[in-house]
Amino acid sequence: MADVQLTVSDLISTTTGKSSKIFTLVGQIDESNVMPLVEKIYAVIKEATPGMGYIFDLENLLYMNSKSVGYMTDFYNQIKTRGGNMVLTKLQPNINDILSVIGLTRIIPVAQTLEEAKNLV
Amino acid sequence: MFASIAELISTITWQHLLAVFLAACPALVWGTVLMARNTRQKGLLVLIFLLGTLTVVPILGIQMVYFALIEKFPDADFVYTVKNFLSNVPYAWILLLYVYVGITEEVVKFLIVRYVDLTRPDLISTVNDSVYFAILAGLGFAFSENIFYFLKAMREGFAALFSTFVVRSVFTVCAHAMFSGIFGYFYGVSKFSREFTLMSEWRGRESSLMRFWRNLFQENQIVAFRYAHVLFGLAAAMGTHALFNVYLELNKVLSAMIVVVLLFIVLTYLMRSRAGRLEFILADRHGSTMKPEDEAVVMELIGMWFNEGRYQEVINVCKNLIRRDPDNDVAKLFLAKAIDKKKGRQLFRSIKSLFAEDEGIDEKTVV
Repeated sequence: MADVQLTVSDLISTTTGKSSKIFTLVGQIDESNVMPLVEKIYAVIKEATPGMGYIFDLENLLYMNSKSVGYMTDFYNQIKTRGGNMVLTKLQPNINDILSVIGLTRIIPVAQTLEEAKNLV
Repeated sequence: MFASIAELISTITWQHLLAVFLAACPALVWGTVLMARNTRQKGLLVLIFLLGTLTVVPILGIQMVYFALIEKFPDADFVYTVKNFLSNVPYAWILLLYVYVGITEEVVKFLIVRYVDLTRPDLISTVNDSVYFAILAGLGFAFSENIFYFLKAMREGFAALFSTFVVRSVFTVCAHAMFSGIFGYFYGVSKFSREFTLMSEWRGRESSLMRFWRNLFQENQIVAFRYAHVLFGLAAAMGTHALFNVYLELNKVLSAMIVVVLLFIVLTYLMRSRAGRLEFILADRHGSTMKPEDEAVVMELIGMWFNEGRYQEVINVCKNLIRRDPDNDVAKLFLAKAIDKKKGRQLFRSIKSLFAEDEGIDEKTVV
């Protein structure tokens, strides 16, 4: 049974004053833990003010199963319909490979660093 | 040897030649119509057709052996016993006879396709190849059978010959091609059982029927899938052939025609589908540029989206994946099926829109 931890932190841009949320994921997402994780992320998106930016920091996320990749497209949809923006950052090569074949990296901006992500969101 | 061949040739009359010519006409016309989209070498198609013409030999051979046997051992004539037994039931004997004829003819035509596939497995690289070969075997069989019917009709006069020629050319030849074609389709699917089974696995689905076959054959999923499809195809061909024969025998020509037309529509639909035309590679020539575990995640997602009916997304992802792994036949199968399903859905919506108010349907996709 894999383990995954989610940390949600707030970020306010000093230049634009725009607020964003950072989802930091650590560990591996598989069938055993995907649903509780997804529900937590959905809850945050739902409670947040519309137009909010979201950064997914995946530096220490080592594995994503197919379901979680599918939900990633759904997060993007939800965020976009609420007028927000979503950026992925610091992807592991395997996850980057999967997301690029799925075609997600063409529609969701991918940043190499957190600083870059802050500018993109 | 030469003497016997010379004797044989000396017995050939103009009636025989005319019968051969008349039998060749519908076979040629239907062959041209049904093979119009086939790109295989003509020589190969002619060879399979010729093999098909030989299929009457075992059927006649069995009859000859049987007649020779009962001449020596009259008590062994179980056909006579069965006929007597059924004599009080109207139509029972004739129906049984035509069901038997339908079954034996389809089994023999199946043997031709099986023989070609066993000797040259590379010849069937798409499901449609199998359909084409089966159709040719069917046309070959119909050609040989027609020679006998035309010879018989000639003895009855011009009117009998004309009507036999018209009915058999238009209907019976096409019917033989259709019965074989249906079998050919299932044989083709069974040949690529590995790809079809893997597709079901990625979708996380196994039908209860397949579970039944797996338990029955005590084999793994791929082998059970293969057996089940060969048997089902054979049963479908034999069943429709027997039904056609029975309708004709009961003088229900319209019903027989409907059977043939329906088979024609079904077969045309199956052959026009992307999955039918998909060329399977059957060998890993290029290798994948993705790690197997990462590719597995993508395949699982494709299966999941396919189940959810997100066909456009499946199409997009499959195209990306095939660029990274050109020999991935399962991804190609998903792509072909998704395109077929999408087209089917569009057709359904078009038909539905004819009868309903504009619902403003649009398909939103993410990737």
